[in-house]
Amino acid sequence: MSAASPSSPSSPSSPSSTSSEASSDAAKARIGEALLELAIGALRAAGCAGEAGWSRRDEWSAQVRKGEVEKVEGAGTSGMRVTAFGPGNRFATCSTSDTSEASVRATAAKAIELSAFGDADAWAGLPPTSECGLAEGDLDSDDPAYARLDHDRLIHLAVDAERLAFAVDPRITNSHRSGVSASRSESRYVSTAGVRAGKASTGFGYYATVVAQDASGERQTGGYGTSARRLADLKPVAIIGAEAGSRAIRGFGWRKIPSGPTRVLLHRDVASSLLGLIIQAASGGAVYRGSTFLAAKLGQQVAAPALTVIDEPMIRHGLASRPCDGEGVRSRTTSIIESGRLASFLVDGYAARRLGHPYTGHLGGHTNVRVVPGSASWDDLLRELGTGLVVHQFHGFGVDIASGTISKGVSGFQVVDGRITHPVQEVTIAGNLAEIFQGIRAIGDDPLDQTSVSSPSMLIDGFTVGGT
Amino acid sequence: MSSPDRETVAHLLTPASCERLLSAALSRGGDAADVYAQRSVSRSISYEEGKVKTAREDVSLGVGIRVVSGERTGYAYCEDLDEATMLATARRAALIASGAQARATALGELVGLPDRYRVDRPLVSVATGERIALLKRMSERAFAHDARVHWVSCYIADGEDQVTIAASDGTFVSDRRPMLRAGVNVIAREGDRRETGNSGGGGRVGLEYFTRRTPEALADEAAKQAMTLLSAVECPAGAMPVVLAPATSGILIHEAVGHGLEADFNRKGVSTYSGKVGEMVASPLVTVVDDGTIANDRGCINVDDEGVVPGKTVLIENGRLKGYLNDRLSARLMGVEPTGNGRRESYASVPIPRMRVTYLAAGSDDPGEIIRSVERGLYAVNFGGGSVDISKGDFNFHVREAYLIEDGRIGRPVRGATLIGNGPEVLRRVAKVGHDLALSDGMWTCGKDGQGCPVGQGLPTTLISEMTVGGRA
Repeated sequence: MSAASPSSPSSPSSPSSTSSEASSDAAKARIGEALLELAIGALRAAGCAGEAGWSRRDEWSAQVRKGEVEKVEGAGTSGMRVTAFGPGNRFATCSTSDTSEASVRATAAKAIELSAFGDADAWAGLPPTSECGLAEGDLDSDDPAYARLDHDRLIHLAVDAERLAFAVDPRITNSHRSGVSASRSESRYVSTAGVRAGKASTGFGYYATVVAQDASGERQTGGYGTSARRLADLKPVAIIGAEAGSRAIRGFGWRKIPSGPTRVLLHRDVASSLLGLIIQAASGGAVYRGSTFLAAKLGQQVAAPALTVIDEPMIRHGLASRPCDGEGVRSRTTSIIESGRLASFLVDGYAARRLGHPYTGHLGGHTNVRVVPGSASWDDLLRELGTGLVVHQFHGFGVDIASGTISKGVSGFQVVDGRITHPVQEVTIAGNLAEIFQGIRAIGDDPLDQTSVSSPSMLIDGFTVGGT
Repeated sequence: MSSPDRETVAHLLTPASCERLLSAALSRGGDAADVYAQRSVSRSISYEEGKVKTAREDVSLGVGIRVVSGERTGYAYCEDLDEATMLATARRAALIASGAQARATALGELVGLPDRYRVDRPLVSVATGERIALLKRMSERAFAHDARVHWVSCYIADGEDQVTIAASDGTFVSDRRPMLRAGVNVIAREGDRRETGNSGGGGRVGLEYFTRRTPEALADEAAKQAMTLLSAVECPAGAMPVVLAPATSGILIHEAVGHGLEADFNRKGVSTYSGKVGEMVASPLVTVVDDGTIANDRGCINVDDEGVVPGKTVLIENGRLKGYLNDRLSARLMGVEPTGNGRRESYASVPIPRMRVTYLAAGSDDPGEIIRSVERGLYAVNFGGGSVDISKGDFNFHVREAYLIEDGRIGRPVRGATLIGNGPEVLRRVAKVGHDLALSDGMWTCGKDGQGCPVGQGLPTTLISEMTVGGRA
């Protein structure tokens, strides 16, 4: 291969320039602090409460195809956001990517002006300072490796993963794309109540996506990737390449299966996607609007006792870890579902006050959500499935959180008497989330993944196949 | 197409400044370079419980600079229109190339651009209070529709996107694109059962949109959909004939055909349609068009994001594949003319081939006759979203509103339907095409490579002789 080596001017190779990079980060952060003070000053001068956020991001990415570099991208960006609370907590939010002083002043002025059009809302406003602050613990999310990136080496991760994917099977003859990325983000938050927060984190990732073609001319795609806060935590290329390659060929020889009720074994990728639906359904905004099937279910048994789901914000190096949320509320561990019982919603300050629910620190969404693993091995789960469908991929949308209706395209394998018989494609599975979660029969012992939402495999009753 | 009274659009950068940036971009060689400057203002107001819930205004400003060398692209962007920062950004993009300075053609302004966004009442000059009054009408009407309506949220979002594009082939052009999107979401309750309904629309239009489709009409549609779902039965699962209602069902064409015909997938040989130009890929009843010229549609553009004036592109004519949707890069590598499909989400992204307004052309069948010809099947009316696997061609879409067809008549509403199929296979099963082509009211955003892009779509009443329907009954 002849991967080109466009090294970025912002990636100094000598240690001495690393320190100048760090001091320039510090200088930029000081500019950010000054802009925040400017915005807060404007809010105070107008007699408004409010908050301001500043963020900055450096990013670099490359795309590779068939061993050749296709695209290299780089950018450095920053932005400001200002929320003004006027009388009666009437509020408005404005943002700008233009972080000149004049633009930040204009943004604050616009937020103050627009807030007058809001309606009084007793639940709106800043959270009490007693709920605010940073959770204890070192997330270690700002990898010093970012300051001395070797772009050639990063590009080789994507190139090697793609090459190893091709090596899996001779039918893999084309590449959709492989890629690699690195970024560093920094943010600061200040409110008129005196709450201050800030964080910096790096992110790295790479992936490969290859295309296989069989004798009939049918094409199938397979891809796999890894991402982490620290460069050293990325999974090795051998794993990424082998998995991408095997995913490209696993569907060949597929058949549809007949329509009807079936027991389903969800691979952990799709089990994690199902877990994402629990998070949506337990979000405070959906609860007070009544737009979730979990709205009136706090404290009730909403899933089989095997299911325990936890939101853990302070996992060291975690992809979704944070010491506080988007309004400065201190992060804390939240049990969403405890042995099948709905124990907590995920709320921002507004929903907490409105629902009379304890603060959980979820403005800006969930953090690292985990299903507590069970004890069944994959083979145990296949045996317990007996005859049914293994699902390894969901396709498309097909979920309504309010009614709990779920209906999705799937790919997977037919299993008869605990043995995989053939791949399955172009079928759907449908059910109702309330019944699906009650229908969880067993949870696998798979180790949890790096992803922000991670579940082991799950064996579930209550789905209906739409096929032939 | 040119219109003498088209309002002059101000340039975000001068031609002289763009020439300096292009020269820096080509400082290490390369086949082509371009500069894309953009200033966007977006406003939104949401309204819930009879109150303004949120008011926002967001401004983004930036410049993206691209260098293309062979099949390689270097891209960098910044959010500062300061010349030194932009020149550094251009040199960062240039790192992809490794030769001697290449020359750019002197810039000449593209004249005679079409005027596809003419509006009566530009939203930029509409007072916030007037928007709130419209939202209040939507909300009150939805609540008045039925006592089972439990919650109503509605929004009006609008903005302008001002762009200046300069390319090393001498192209220099600016465009200012307005956009409006309005919508109503209704949550209805009956006992323990909760259902949602939604409606929306807009386009590159002004406030006059609400005289064509009133706030009350939007509210009624969303509320009616939620009521329908409250009385819906479970959708049957299995293979059956499917009749697609006009307009919004165009998502089938978008997913089953449109994406697979984007040129980037085809020049790389990864699409199910790769290498098939000239072949029959669909029933002879199928003619598919991607059109950038439909005035005021959400997907129309005066000029694409690479400075190409789009026309109407016939993709499939009477079942035969005619060509692909090209951006400049794919057009150059495949030796064809660009079709004006090079689009991007913002200055932070490279342009890629994207759809504009994609539709199935009208046929000659009578819509009532089409429904009467089906003994037992599904009539699909409103959709929640879809996706496609480009290489195999499998697509799916989520049906929000659908009815059983029983003995040639539209019968009971069903909930939870998903349609799944293989693009080329479903296109061969197009058995009847109505004469009632309609375009979906503008509310669709297409996602590809992490970039969102506003698009339009449409379809006449269409019978697919057999599709796999996902449901629980």
